[in-house]
Amino acid sequence: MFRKGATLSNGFWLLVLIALLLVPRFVDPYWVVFMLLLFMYVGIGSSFNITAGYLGYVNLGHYVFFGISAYGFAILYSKGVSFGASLLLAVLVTLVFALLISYPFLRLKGGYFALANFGLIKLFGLLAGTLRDFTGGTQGISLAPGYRPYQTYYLFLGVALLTIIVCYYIPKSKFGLALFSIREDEEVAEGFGIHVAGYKMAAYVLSAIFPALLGAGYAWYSAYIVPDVVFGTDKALLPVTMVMLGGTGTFLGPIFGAAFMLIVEEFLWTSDWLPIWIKSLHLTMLGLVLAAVGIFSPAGLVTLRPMTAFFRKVGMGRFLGATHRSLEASLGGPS
Amino acid sequence: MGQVLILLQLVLAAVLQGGTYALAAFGLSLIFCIADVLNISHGEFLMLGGLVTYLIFAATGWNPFLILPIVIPLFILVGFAYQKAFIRPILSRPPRQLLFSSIVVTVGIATAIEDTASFIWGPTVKGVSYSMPSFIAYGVVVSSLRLTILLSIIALTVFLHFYLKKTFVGKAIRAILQNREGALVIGINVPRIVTFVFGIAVCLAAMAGVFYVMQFTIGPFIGLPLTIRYIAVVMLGGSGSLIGSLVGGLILGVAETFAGFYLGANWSLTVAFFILVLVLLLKPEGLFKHV
Amino acid sequence: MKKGGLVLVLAGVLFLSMVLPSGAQEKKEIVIGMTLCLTGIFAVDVGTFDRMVKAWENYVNTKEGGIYVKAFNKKLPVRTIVYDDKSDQATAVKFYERLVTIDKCDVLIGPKSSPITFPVTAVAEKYHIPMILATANTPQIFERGFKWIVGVNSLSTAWSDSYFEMLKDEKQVKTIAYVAEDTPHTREVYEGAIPANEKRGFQTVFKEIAPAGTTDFTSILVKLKAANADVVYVSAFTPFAVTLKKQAKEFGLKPKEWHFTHADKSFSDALGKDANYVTTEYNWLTGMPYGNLKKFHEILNQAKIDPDEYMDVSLHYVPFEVLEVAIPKADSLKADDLMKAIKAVNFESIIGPMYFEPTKGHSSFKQLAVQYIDGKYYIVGPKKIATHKHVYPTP
Repeated sequence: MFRKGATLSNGFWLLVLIALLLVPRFVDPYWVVFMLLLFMYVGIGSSFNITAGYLGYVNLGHYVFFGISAYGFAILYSKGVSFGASLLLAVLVTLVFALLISYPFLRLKGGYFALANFGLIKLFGLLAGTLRDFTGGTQGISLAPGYRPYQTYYLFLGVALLTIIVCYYIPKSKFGLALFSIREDEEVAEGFGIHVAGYKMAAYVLSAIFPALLGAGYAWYSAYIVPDVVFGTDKALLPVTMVMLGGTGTFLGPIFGAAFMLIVEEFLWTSDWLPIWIKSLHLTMLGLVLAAVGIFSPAGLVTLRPMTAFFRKVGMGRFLGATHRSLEASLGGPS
Repeated sequence: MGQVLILLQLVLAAVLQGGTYALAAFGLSLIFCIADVLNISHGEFLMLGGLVTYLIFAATGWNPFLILPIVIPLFILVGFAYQKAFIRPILSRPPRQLLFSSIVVTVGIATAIEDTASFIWGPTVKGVSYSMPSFIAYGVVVSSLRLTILLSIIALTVFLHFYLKKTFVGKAIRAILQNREGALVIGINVPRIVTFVFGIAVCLAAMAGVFYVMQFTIGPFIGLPLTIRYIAVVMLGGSGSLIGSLVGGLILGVAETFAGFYLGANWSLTVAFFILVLVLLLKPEGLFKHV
Repeated sequence: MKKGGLVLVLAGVLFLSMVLPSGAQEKKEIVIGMTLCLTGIFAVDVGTFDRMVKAWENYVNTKEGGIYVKAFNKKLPVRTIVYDDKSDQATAVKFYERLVTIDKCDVLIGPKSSPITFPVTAVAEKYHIPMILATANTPQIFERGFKWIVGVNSLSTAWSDSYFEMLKDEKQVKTIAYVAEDTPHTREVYEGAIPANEKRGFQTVFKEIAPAGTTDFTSILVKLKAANADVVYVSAFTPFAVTLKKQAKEFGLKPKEWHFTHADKSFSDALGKDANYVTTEYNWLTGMPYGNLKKFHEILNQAKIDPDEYMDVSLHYVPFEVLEVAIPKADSLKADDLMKAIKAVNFESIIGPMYFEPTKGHSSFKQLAVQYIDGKYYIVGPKKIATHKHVYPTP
């Protein structure tokens, strides 16, 4: 079934990459900012998918890696540490944290795991607000102001690329195979000789790398962070929402979900012909769409038959992921 | 002697706080245990309960305690409708998919409720200016309002306990919690009981909302942070357990109040969450098993 | 299922309609852009202001025929663009970028809250577009040496100046206890008030900061009672303030006066009689004698906004007044001329005399001292515009 229609060659995608690299030169800076945010959400969403979709552990607190790294970077950078060193150290600290917390948390099952991680966000928000001397408390940290969308664009493009490359190759690798088998049935996997605990921790820490990179980058870009900005619970659910909307467990899902939400939001606000009450209720409509997706197409929009057909026709069939078939089966398929 | 009085004062506050937590948390815990659904929109029902109370109070000035008899049946129905419309379609799915779906659906509904409430009634906070005189017992100031609320919660808890133990529906619920297939085998109409549980849970949340709006203020966006706190109580105490919710609520209440006093108000919530994480590390399923 | 295919076609159309350049290159109107927190945590204060903005636009265009521009020697209509930043920093920055580069705004109005204002002002500074801040009042905003921003609000550290000066003149208060909610704004107010007050001669008998989600104030109330201050000064937003006051009443704490920095209508509605004689700050109240009140009221009526309920609406209105004064005086709508004219304004706005400090850009405005008496709010300070005598001590 994957053979129908020509597959877009790697060369094509290389051209797309070059186009993205050149984009900032030709369009209004606004689109640079727009794309930068898109890359950020794609990065966070796709990495969320590693634990949620591939491993089967929904980490509702995925965003916390973003926040810890953002703060780590801000603290170091504001004290005069260079950009590169701050970035590296911030990510390192986040990964160490992820490693430490992974062992106890990964013993939790399903819903408890999701919620315990979610609680972490709140905990760190509180810590950031309380440890004034360290984090500037609720007044946050202010870095030297600057206008850096172009550099951030390339940084985020790089990270997003890295993320999706990793996410693309995982399902094709032995690592991915191990994750899927753990997802389907942990005990059986253990019985087959897979060191389950080790793989779970690896997936968890791996998924933390990308939001950490993005978090540090974001702190540098916005130059002012307070606990609410990076540890806000309303923001925490955003990447989760995007991925679930687009499709968990699929490679294309998070990308599609992020793009879909950003574009719809853009459209709603910038079209003059829409009546004002639709704009005011845009969150309600998003909420209802989300609920509808949950009820009718829980594997996400990407797995709807017309969508998969379209992708295959356009030659992007291979991006639907090797997990597609087994995913469909295990999630009961669309509608 | 002064120290002892202050201690008593704090204990009273802690118990009141904990009781309020426990009430809303128990509903959440029931839903999680009986349907494997993470009801992230739980806090929204609390907000709606408080909102309805505010609206009726603003229009009529009635004693909010007397508004309870209106809130209770209303929200049992709301719970039924909510479950039938949004939850039932996903209940028949395998566990992992159910978890995913329940998160997506309940987050969606929570967002929609918040936004609509803000649109219709405005984003400002609302409160209910109902108060009761307080009295002093043995040098400790007791707030009659909070005491009455606490007594109501205790009465409710006792009622729930006997309901679960003695009535048919209650026993059916416990049977399902203990062994779902077994319950089916002996002829219990599981889907209908599940719907009923949702009615109860949503109603409990709304009642907590009534008590909440009497003590604090409500706004369209308070739902999500509250849901997180109740989730903490549920995880602490163990899902499906009434005692668990009470103990979990109490622990959090005590942690908040005492940490606030001795370490400075800054630390109250932080300590509470630390304790949660600690308990989870030691006992991943929470302190108590289900009823 | 044809639905999927339709969705994709729609998506394609959307994308094209957005990326293709929007028309109207010739200067036919004055474009004013801003984001407002219409949803999210800050929507509490400003969620309905898009209506006021549109009502102003409507008024100016239909009743006044626009605003006079020297360079064209005629009146040009105004067009306002409002985006919802969802109280989110990243969204706000994105939209301000859009306002400047795509919508080609002539001037920008600032967003709400410090975390959003900081990066957004960097955008204005980078593109050299004038930005008038409405509610933002953190001193640091103005300390960065930016040349393209001005702000109409009083600095947070000087929030209760009018109130304290009034107390100083009355010579009755000796001790003050301070409680603050731990958010950037309320903290700044608290931190600005204490040292200034000690200079004024008031003794600080207690001070503490509590986190924003505090639901039980027992520990603070116990300490407050022991401190026995004349005035209990609380720098907090409504939820915190209402809960504190309710519990204080139950606790039997009765200082000679309560002061809450944000005790607007939702505060007094939630407390009823218990809010009686509480003092607070407002930036505008019915009874203020300044500016073109008739126009202000008409616009508010059309927008269906009650200024007593949404206190900040006046602060959001003043930037428009500034523009109405500055644009006719500017040599053209070019950024340099516009900014020069904005910085040079000196007129009577609805909140009083309005001019900007030349190097830093913040305004001269000071909040009013207001007291809630028997169901209504009255101005009690500064004396010359007071509508009621300050009732002290609380009976």
